Amino acid sequence: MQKYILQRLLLTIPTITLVTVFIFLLLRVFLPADVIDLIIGEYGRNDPELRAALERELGLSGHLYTQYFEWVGVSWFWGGERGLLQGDLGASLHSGRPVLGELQRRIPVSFELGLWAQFCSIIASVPLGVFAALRQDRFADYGLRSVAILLAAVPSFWIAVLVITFGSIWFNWAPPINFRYLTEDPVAHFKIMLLPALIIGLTPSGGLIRLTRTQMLEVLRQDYIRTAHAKGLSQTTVLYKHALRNALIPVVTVIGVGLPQIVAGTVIFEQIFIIPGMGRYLVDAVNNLDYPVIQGLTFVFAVLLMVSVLLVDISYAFLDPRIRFN
Amino acid sequence: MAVSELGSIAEIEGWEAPVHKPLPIRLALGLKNFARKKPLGFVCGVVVIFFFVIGDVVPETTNKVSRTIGLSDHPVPYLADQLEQMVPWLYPYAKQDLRARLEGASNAHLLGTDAIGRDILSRLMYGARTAVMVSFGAVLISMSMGAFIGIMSGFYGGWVDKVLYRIVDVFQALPPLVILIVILGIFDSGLWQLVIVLGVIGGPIQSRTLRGQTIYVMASPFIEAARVIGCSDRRIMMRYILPNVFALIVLNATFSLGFLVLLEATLSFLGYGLPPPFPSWGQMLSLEGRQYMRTQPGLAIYPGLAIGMLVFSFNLFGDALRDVLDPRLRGSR
Repeated sequence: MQKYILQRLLLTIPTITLVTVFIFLLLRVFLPADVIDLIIGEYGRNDPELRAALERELGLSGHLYTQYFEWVGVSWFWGGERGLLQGDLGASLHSGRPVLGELQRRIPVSFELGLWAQFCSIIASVPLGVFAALRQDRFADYGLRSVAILLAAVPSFWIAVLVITFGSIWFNWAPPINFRYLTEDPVAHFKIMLLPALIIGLTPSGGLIRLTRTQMLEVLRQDYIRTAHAKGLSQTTVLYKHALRNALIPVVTVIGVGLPQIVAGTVIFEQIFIIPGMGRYLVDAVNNLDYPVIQGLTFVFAVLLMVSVLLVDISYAFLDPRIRFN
Repeated sequence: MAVSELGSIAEIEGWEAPVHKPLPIRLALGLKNFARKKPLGFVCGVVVIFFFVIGDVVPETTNKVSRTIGLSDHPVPYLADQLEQMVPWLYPYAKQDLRARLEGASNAHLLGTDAIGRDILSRLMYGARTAVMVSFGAVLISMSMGAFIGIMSGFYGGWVDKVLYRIVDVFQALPPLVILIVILGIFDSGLWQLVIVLGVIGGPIQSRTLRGQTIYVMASPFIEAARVIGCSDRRIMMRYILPNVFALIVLNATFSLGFLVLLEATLSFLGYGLPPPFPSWGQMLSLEGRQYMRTQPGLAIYPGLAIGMLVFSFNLFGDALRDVLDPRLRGSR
């Protein structure tokens, strides 16, 4: 088990390195518009001295590989600036504020939104999936399956648009414009977060209902369920102790891998509901060509995704003894 | 035993050589069979084809100049331009009529007009073209890439597999929406950029299942037989492995089509899709829909309905296709 975890951890090192190379190449080599041009445009004059000074200041001078080493923080070891390895993500070109400080405020917001969405979706869809499995091929099953397929097909941002449109037409209601942090005003905070979380949770629910139902049906067909019934265990014990636990293993995977995707997917809802999370930060940075921010954010997103995939794999090993003892 | 002693197959008693019907008839029979087995899936397939066709009847240009097609010098009247003259409620998608802004539904504009007097129905219909072109183009690219990577790494194994898989890992570590926003936001977005970027991002992720299937196929005795008779690697990959993983490729393709339509709509909604006069459903929901939705709620409703319908049809069609193509998964939905 420890060997397995260690192996997985070691494998993430080359992947993370390649991710940084990929992000760097994407933004520094293939970038068509020159950021320096944009900033010099603000100064209103184009003299080579200013350009050279700016390039040095923004870390855009020198060879590509020295720029890369500076960003990653390898050059720190021979007396350069701090980089990714030292936990420094750089600073915004426009506001000059460090990316890390900005992220410390924004990551919790996006994560909270993602977690609430995930929570709403699990609370609704796992019981519904179990219910559909128990009523297989009856009216309730067909109804729930249709709803599940519909939920997966309808774009969730459309539902958000509809809620805002008809909320304003029928009830004269609009989503609050001023964001409140949890520490400032918890009640107002939850009022802001509730609706987006519910709507974000709708799309994954469709898949979760179907997956839970399939898994449950699969498990209920197994011999050990019949044995459990034959031993005279009550229906609830068989269902919750024997069937549900085993049925939920793949569901856990989907939920775990889904979380960073949901967090990334909050981009669109942060735009609609005006929530200051990572997604809005990314969109603003992309529009301003603020590449240290883009680089840092993409890197953070990638690390989050990899960590959660890793955690899922490890929890999988804990849940499934066949993997643990292999 | 010499071959002549066997006699020709036709001479075996009580056996009739199967009559091969021509291909169109076989295809039609296959379709009929599919329709009988999976009526819902068949209907959804028809809906998909409907969306295919509907985008092409909307005229593109505001001036009615007939274009020449192919090598002929004679101007060939463009079907959509002719339709525009015959059908009163069909307009070029970018035609503005500032005297008829935000009109309700009427005989001239079946679904009303938007903020600068463009016909909503025509734009909606042309939007189908965007959705279909982007999703099919991207699927074509990502499936070819996925098949190439998957089969290569499954076939060769060893260091080829290791190297290719580190690259696939990189793509899996990047959330697609984030990387798409970054790429499309920095580069100018257009139809081809959108198709290529969506396709390339999806390719490595698609290769996972194909690699597994290739390894599974590699264990079969017929691969060994092919090696024994001296087939080259390329021949084994193209003639023995590819046909055996093709069903999986088709299935993955139908499932990612719906996902891609949603992704395209999301990107257009955020403003990273096609540039403005070109209609796309996601874009109609964002800029035009949200500003004027109080006076014209149709702008907020119809594009979303269209997206939902297309994705729903893709998904159910994919389900039906899976049931028919892959007997192992039958009934396990």
